[in-house]
Amino acid sequence: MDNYDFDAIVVGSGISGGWAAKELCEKGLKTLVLERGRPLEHGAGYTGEHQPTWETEVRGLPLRDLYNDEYEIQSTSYAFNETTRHFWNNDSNNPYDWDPQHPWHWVRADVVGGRSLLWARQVYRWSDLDFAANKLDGHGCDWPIRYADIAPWYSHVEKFIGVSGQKLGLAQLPDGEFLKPMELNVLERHVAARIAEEFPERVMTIGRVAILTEPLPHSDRGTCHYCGPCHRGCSVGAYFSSLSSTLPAATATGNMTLRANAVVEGLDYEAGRITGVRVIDTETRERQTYTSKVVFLCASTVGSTQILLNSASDAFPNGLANTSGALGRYLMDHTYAVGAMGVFPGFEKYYPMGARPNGAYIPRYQNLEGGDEAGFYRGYGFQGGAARMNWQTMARLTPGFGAEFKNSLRTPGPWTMRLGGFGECLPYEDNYLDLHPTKKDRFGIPQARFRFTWHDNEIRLRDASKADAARMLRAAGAVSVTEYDAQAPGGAAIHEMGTARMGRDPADSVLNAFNQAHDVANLFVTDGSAMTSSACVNPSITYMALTARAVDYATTQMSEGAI
Amino acid sequence: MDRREILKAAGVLLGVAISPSCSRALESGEDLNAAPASGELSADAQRIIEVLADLIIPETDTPGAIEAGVPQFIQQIVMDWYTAAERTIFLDGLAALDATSRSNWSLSFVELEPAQQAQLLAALEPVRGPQEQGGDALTAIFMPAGAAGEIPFYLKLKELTVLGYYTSEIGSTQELVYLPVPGRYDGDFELAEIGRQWTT
Ligand SMILES: Cc1cc2nc3c(=O)[nH]c(=O)nc-3n(C[C@H](O)[C@H](O)[C@H](O)COP(=O)(O)OP(=O)(O)OC[C@H]3O[C@@H](n4cnc5c(N)ncnc54)[C@H](O)[C@@H]3O)c2cc1C
Repeated sequence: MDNYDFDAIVVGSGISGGWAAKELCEKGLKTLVLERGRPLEHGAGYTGEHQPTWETEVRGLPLRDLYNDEYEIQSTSYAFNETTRHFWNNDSNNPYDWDPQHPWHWVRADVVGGRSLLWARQVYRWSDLDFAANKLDGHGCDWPIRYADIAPWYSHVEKFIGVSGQKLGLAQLPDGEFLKPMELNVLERHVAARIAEEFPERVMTIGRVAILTEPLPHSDRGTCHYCGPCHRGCSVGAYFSSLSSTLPAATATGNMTLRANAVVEGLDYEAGRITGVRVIDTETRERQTYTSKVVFLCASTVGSTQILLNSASDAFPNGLANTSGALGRYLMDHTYAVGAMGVFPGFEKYYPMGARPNGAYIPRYQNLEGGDEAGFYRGYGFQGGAARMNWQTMARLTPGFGAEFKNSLRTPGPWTMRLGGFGECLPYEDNYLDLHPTKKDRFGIPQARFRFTWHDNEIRLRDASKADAARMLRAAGAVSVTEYDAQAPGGAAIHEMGTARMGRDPADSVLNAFNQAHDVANLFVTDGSAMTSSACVNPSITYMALTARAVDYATTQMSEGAI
Repeated sequence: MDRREILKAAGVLLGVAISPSCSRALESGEDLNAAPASGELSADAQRIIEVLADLIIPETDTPGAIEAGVPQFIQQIVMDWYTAAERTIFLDGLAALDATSRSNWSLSFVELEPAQQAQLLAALEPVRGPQEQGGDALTAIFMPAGAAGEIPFYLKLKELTVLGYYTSEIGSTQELVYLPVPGRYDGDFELAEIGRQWTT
């Protein structure tokens, strides 16, 4: 291997890094994967899986002092509790900084596999409406790719990870390679039918999820057994994670070396190339530099951006590969935790069986031609679901006590349905992350610092999604509808992206059409930082497809001697 | 329901779509660092809690709160998990109940006839605002009046008893139907086939 330690180095083992590792290894490259988190074994590491509540320390209640002191940000996630805490970042060990007036939630894991362990597995393709949006309405720079460029890579990814879903034939939400869909329950089907009648341009479907509803031909991963909380880990591998899917494939090639507890501090640059990846061992604090022909940054949007900012040099005083000045800027997330819920009379005969790890989905229906006809630019979709109130809720609503009280709690309460909006966020220069000038972490690395504000367009869109959710529920027969808006700070939707964006012009973007740094030929960044706009759908499958596509390009370039 | 809790609840896509977590009502957020009063409740307090838990969830065709270990759970939460402020509300509530009993009947609460005990407990039931009765139930769940830290003794007691019971092994497997690995999803399943709730 000439003078290199490896052919390729991948930083991060999460959703993007797992894909980079698999694709690079399968192309025959000796690949080193560096992961700052702790080692985690598929199966054996899932200590909370199927754990009954009565065996947990305080019956699922939060350990308040601990969470408050050490998990202040992470514990705001619905997926954070004692059955999953071992996957999450400890905020006091690994702090970050934010402007209190313009806060940001940085939600992250700290294990091999990254957030692929914890994610909600919702996967939706982007469409040309999304890739053309910046050009059409003039917000942000133009994407250097269109749907046709990425469509085959979506297929490549979907076939490998397994995605269950229903084909709809919608231009704004292209169909994929689907395993059989999960089912909507009886109330959701009723609501879907009512919505279709009242609002012919809207459709409610079952969520598209990276969960196996049927076996995959190339894999021994098991199918879903509907136990519910996937984020505790699934030892049969029914949902996609790096541990269930991509890392085993990379391992099988014999080409992967995985090093956990290895935080990348920065990259060395010389004469047009990355010449070294500097690592600190999180346990021993030992430093080491690895070399490779090509480097893939997949450390998540914030992680990769932080590494580049911390790799400034004489050649790049404002951060590596940052001649454009775009690095760290144009930070985006989705509007979130806003919507409505309603109580539905009837259907008392039905009580779904099984804990479906998925919900209902309403694809975007606003501004389908671009523009701002709806009163804002871009759009939103809804995720939600219907269920009957359980004993916990009913106990709060039921006065009294004694045998009668107990017997009334035995059967479930009324049906409710919730619709929550996820809205697109425009890229703004003044939403950014940079390095704190003085605060450092325990490894001596400058802390990431954030400043993020929702602008008018997001606020208008968020309010509109709330009103639409309520209107749809009422139209479907809800007797009591409550709107909610948690005023979620940026980052809370955990769809952070945009801080090393792709573009056509090196003057306003960091990466080219193949996620390659305009400034440095052997540097690729393929996580959410590459995103030029945010669309309104969950982004991770797009990171996967871009990663696979970038590896294909990089290895071709390498074999042609261009890298 | 505070912002943080809506944030948390809004992320849940699944079956428990709107169930506000028990933690909200239990949680006050304030005074988190107050040192827990270590040790056990007084023997008197323990006996009162036993009587109260049994009144709230008695044995029926399934075991009740006592057999499910609820009094021990309540003691654990009150002594080790509650903040000082919450603990004070709870212990003051117990003491007030006993004091009322002594002034009405010159007997301690545990010495009363069950009907008298039930009468005293029932007197603590808060009068519900109209929006909390049925109709606008959801508003009541999502936007209950008052901060969590001010939740009165009676509601704390009831919430702890309910949580302790339905999350116990007995409550989960005998009163509810425990099916950890359903194997399938059936969105048209009929309640009559099991006649009770799944353990969630
Ligand atoms: C509860 C939850 C629900 C979600 N639901 C969805 C969903 O339904 N659909 C969807 O599309 N997305 C969802 N997401 C978001 C999704 O998890 C992320 O978009 C995705 O994991 C991003 O992939 P990534 O590889 O860029 O980052 P990650 O998966 O976070 O992986 C990055 C890895 O890099 C490591 N790393 C960081 N810095 C360094 C460094 N300096 N040196 C070495 N290693 C480093 C990290 O430890 C981590 O393991 C959800 C996330 C959460 C937490």
